[in-house]
Amino acid sequence: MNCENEPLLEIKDLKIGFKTPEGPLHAVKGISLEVKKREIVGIVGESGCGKTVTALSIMRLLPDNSFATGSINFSGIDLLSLTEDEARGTRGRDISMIFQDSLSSLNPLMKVGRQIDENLMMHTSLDKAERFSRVLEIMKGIGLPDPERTYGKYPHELSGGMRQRIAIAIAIVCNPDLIIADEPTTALDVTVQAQILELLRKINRESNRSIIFISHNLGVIREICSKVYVMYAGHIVERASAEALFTNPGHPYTLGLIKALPKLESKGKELFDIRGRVPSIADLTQGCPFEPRCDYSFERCRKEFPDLKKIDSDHEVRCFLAGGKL
Amino acid sequence: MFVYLKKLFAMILTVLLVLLITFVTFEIIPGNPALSRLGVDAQESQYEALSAELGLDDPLGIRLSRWLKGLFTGDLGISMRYSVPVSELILDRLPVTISLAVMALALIILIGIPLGIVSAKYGERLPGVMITVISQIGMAIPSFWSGIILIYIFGILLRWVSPGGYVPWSEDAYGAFKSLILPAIAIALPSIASVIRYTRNSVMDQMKNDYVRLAMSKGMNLNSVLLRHVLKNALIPIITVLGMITANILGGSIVIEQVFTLPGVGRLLINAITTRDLPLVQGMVLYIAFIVVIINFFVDIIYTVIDPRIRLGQRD
Amino acid sequence: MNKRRINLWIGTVLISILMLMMVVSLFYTPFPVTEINRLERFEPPSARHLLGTDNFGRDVLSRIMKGSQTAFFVGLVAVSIGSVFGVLIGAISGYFGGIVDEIIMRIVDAMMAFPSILLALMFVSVFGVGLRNTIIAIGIMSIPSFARITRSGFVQHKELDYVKNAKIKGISNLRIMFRHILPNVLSPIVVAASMGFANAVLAEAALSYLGLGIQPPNPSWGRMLSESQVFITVSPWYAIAPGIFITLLVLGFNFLGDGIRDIRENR
Repeated sequence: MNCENEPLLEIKDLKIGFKTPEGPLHAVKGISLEVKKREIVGIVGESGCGKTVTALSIMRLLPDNSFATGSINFSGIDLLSLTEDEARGTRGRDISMIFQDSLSSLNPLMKVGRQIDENLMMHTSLDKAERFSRVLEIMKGIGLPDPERTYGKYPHELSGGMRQRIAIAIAIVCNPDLIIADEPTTALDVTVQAQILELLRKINRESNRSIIFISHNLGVIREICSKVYVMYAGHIVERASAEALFTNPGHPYTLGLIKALPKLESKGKELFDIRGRVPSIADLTQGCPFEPRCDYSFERCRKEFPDLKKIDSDHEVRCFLAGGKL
Repeated sequence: MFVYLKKLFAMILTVLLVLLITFVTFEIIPGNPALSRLGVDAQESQYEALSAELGLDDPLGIRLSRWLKGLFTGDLGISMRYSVPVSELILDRLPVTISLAVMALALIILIGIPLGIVSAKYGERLPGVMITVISQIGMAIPSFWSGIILIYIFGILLRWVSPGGYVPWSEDAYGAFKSLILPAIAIALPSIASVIRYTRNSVMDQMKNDYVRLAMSKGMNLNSVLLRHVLKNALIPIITVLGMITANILGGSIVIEQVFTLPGVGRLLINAITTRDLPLVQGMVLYIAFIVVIINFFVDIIYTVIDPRIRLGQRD
Repeated sequence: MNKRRINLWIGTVLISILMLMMVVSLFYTPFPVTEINRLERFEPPSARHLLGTDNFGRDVLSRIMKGSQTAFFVGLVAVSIGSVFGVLIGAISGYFGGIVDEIIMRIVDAMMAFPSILLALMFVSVFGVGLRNTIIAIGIMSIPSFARITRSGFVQHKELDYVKNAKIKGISNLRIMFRHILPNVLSPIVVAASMGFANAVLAEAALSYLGLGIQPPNPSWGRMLSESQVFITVSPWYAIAPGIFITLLVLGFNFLGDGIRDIRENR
């Protein structure tokens, strides 16, 4: 087996639920995905589809009332089988995470430099001076002007883009193999968005780190990801390379997401919106979860749950229409 | 800078308000102090003489300004019962009350805040709920009753401390401590319960924030996250409660000093009320009022200084 | 499901038991409250005297039962005074805003900053002691918290659409305030009333303990504690019993208030 191609992260049939007084709620209903080394993998879906929950489960940061089955294999170890202490050992060092809202994900009362430094303090044995220079180095590397001065600033004193860079710095400072970025550009201006995406691309290129990029915006996903998983209502409904996803979308939901992207040509026209709403986590159906909103659905879709079908090498779709042209 | 000026102005306004209310309460309402001093059977001439001496016949405006002038020079009047300046009486008893207040405050902070954090850490689980219930009971127990029980258990049954009396610090520090620790505990108990509750709520609120998740994603364990990140953030709202705690301690000391027969300002106040020694009552009300106002003012200032978001101004 | 309502249950149960005792005491107590019996002084709790006797040989349980009347009465009237005036002041302040609001809130804040017992003591020192003045003093002491809560409710609601609609229809301000807004703001006021009751019980007990509250022959748990303190070495139960009942009543209303608040938050 070629070590280069062995996946860094392999999730098999992951199911995540929450115990509530009203009964268990199933957020993720059996997904499998794979991240190779140096790959940037995208997970796209609207809010409520379970993508954030999946990310948190990789980090073992789900709340106490959650339960998970299946396996999350990271470099040969099943993360779900680890004890809390063992799982904690992977955080920050092997796997790290970037959150959506940098204003709320940074401690408002701590200087930003120190928040990066804290990571080093925990995972390395460098002394104070060494850590300080390393932090400045990282800050420069991710494009923060005047790192020395910025070190002592508080989060609210920085712009959104700079804050997100700090969050990225925190995520990469200990050289983790895998970075999970949960909607890292959603809260930013378009121009800043582009900068952050370029930064992430640079990090992936120069240090061979894998990135899981989570977003609801297919346009952003297309910019940066090589492989994409489309999630809906706790299921993976399509997997493809970014190219193939756009040129040959297999699932009606994916098609809807593509249509919903604002394009220059459609300026002045109404934006397309997929009719209906994302099902709530408590909704249980027997058939295809997307059926109520699908323009192509038929009788079978209501009754049966479709399996993932291969329509090309490296392209799978969970739809009874898979293979036909949409 | 502007913020501080506004707060100073507000404090001055409050002070003036307090002065006004006190003046009205003690100078206007009770009627003629000379009458109550001499009694109903006094001779008309004695009554007139005393009235003139006390300046009671002067118009209101003059009485008010004379009264205010007296305040600024530290003259709070003369106690009717002891015939000694009020300010002297107060200063005499200040050390006791201040010692009590400081000890109570230390207990509240050192016990209340850690227990509140522990209670928040365990949330709805057993230790958390237990602490909450215990603090509920703590808030319901009348402080003077806990004082009595404490005297009974530690003073009479166990004989760890002597059941009454006060030993001045200057004489014997250890003895002074022993005579003050029980009353300090009695005063502190309801406030400890309050602080546990506030701290618990504040910490639990903070734990819902994203920065807690980020800290954990770095690989920190829960205790480190609580201490290094959450604590500072959680303490800020608690500081605003400090003013209320001070008021509770002062109020508590009034009653507790009576329970333990300590020669403090609180007990002096009660005696003054019982003997209707109005100048004395008035003097002490003013003294307590000023302390409260000043402490609240400082708490306000501290609050703005500690939070860098307020100190440095929000960017967006 | 009941887990969420547990506060409410505990509070209701505690208050009901004590209220039952109070109602019973209106008609019957095991022994006459004022009967002095030199031969039975300082008896420990027994089958005959469930809580023992005091220094005069009087049955402690009977005195406690009688004392509950005072506790409930003072609490009820004081909270009524505090809530009626407090809500009025808070409503006016919150609804009309402006300089009136500023002044009123300054005064309310100043009052809240004080140790509450001090306010009551000030009143009593000027107007004298006794049942009526105790109730008024505690009533005045309760006004600020009602005023604040009511005010914030009114400030919130006066910007809402239904109020604007009512104004457009030409409904008078008074009617809007008390027929339209007030019912919506009632819930936190009820919570405050429950807590206020608890505070009133504590305040009355403290004042009576100091000798500046309820005077003999009116019974009071607080005063029983001050009487019993001298004899604690001889009959500790006399000093313990009133305290326990004060605590239970206060706990009851605190739990009740929390319970009501819990229900409101879960909606």
